[in-house]
Amino acid sequence: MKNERLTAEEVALKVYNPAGAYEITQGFAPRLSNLNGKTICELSDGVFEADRMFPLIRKLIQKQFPEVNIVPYTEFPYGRGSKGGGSYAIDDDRIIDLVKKKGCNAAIVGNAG
Amino acid sequence: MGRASARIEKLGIPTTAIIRKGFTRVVGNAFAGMGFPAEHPCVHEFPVDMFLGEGTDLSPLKENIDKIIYGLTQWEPKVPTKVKVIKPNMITVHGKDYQGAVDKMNFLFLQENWGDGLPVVPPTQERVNWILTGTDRHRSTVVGAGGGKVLPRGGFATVEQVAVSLAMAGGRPEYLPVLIAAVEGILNPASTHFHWAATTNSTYPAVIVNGHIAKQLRINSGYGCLGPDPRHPAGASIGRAIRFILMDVGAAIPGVGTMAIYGGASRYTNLVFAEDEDGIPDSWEPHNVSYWDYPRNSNTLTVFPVTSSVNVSGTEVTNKESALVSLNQFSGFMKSPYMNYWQHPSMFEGAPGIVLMARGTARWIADLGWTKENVQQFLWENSHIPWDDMLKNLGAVVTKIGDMAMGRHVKVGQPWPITSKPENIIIVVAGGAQSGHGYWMQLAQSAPTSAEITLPKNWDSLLKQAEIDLGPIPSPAQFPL
Repeated sequence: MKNERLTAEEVALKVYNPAGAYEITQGFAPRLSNLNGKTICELSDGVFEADRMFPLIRKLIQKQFPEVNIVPYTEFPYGRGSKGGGSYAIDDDRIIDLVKKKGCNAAIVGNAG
Repeated sequence: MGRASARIEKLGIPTTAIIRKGFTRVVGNAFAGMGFPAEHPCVHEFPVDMFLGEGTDLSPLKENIDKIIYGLTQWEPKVPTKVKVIKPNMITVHGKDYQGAVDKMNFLFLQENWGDGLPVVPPTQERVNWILTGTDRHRSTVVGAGGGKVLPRGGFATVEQVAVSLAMAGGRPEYLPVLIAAVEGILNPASTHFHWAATTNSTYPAVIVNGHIAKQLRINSGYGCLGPDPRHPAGASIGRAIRFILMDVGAAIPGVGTMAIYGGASRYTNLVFAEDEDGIPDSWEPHNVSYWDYPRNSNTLTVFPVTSSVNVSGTEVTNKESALVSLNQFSGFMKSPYMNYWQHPSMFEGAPGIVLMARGTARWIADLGWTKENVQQFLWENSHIPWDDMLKNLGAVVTKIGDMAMGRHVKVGQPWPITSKPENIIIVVAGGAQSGHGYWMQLAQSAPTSAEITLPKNWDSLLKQAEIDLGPIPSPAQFPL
C-alpha cells in the first residue's frame, strides 16, 4: 500500500463516511379524520405500568369520541405480564395478523419504548 | 416496540407510541430500519418516573391526551417522504500536516457518533481499495440476508462498507473473508440481530473460527485467545470492525440504538477467536463438525451473541475424580437462574452458551473415556435448576413462562433444564495447554448462526504479503512466551 501524503503546508484527507448508504422505501400511514366510528387497537409489551396507562388512555379518548371502538391490549398477546418485563411478543407475526383481523384503523403502541 | 409500530404503519394503519423520555431516536431507528424516513416517527415522550414503580403519577397522560389523539388524526412527518437511496459523499478534512488531518478526522468522527471512542485508522480510498483485494466480490455487492440491512437503522452492509469498517479497525485484506462471513452470520434472520443489537442486555457477538484459515490469519486459539495479543492481531481487528458495522452502519449507538445498560469491555473488539483444532481430543469432532455438520477442515465460523462471560476455575483434570470435579465446576456456573435461558422458545431451543475448555482439560476428560456427547449430557443433567431456586430468584413469572413457551420441557414444581436438549450446549476447545481454567459464556437473546468463509483467488499472495509485513506465523500460543 502506498503511503498517504506525509507532509505538506496543508494536507487534505479524504475518507469514506462510516455510516454508508440507506434507503427510504415508504412513508407513514395517512392519519384518520375522526376517531368516531373507527377501531383503535392497543398494543402493549406488558411492562411499565401498562395495565394502568392503557385503561386511562382508553377512558380519556372515549370521553372525546363516544363512538370510537377501542380493542384493549389484553385481547392481544402481550409478553409476560405487567410485572414480568420483556417485550418480545409485541413484534410478532401473530400480533400483526390480529391487528388486521380485528379491523384496526389506528393503533396506540406502548409502553415506554 | 418501535418495530411493532413500524410494521403496523406499513399496513397503512397510523400509530402513535407512548414512550419514556429519551427513547424517541430508538424508535426512530427502528422505523428507519424498516424503510421509513430517519426522522422521528409519531411518538410521545413522557417522564421516566411515570413508568417506573407501582402506582405512579399518571397526570402527564391526562394532561397530554390531546397530543396522543393528534398523533392519530393530524400528525404529519416534518419533511414529505421521497422514496430513494441515500448514499453519503466522501468526507474531506484538512490539517497543517498528515497527523493534523488525521486528528481532525477523529474529532469529526466523535462529533458524528462514529467509531468506538478510540482513534481510528482513516478509511481513505487507497486503504479501502487495499482491503478490497481480500475478496473477489464486487464492492457494491450487498452482504448477508435481509438486503444487507444492518438494524436498527438499516444501513447497507455492502462489501465496500464492510471494508471501510475493517480499514478503520486497522485491518488487513486477508481478514476481509472472515469479516464478510461474520456479517453474513449476524444478518442471518435466526440471529435476530435487531434484538441483540438494541436490547438492554449488554450483549456482544462471540465469533468462533474453524478451519485452516484460523492459523493462516493468526487468529488465536491458545493462551489469551480472547485477547489482546500482538502476535495474533486478526481477532481484535475483525471484532472491532464488527462493532463499527453495528454502530456506524446499524446505528447501535449507546442510548440511541442500543440500550445495553452496561455496554461492556468486550464490545470494543467483541470475541473473535479460533478453536484449538490441534488440541481437540482424537475422539472428539471440532465444533463446526459436531454442531453444524460441516466437513472437517472446512473454513467456517459461528456467530453467537453472548452476555456474561465468566472464568471457571478449578478445571484441572488428572483422574476420574478430578474430571467430575471439573465438569461440576462448569455445570455449577451454568446452573444460574438466568432469565434469558427461558425468555423465548427459540432461546430455550437454541444454545444456552459456550463452554471453552482448554486442551489440557479436554484431552484428560477424553482419555478417561468421555465423548463430547457424554460431556454435554453431564453438563445438561447437572445444570438443572431446582424449582425452589427458580421461584426464589425469578418470582411468580416462571409459572407463566412455563405455560407460554417451554411447556413441553419444563414443569412447574420440577427442576428446570437450561436448554431443551444436551446437544445444544456448545463446547469449544480453546485456551492453551493447561487445564486449570475454563470459560462459560451465556447466551444473549438469540440463536447461534454459521457461515462458510470464501477465499479470494489471490489468497496465497495475500498470505505471503502478510508474512512480509508481520513476520512468520507464530506457533499457536499454547504456552506462554
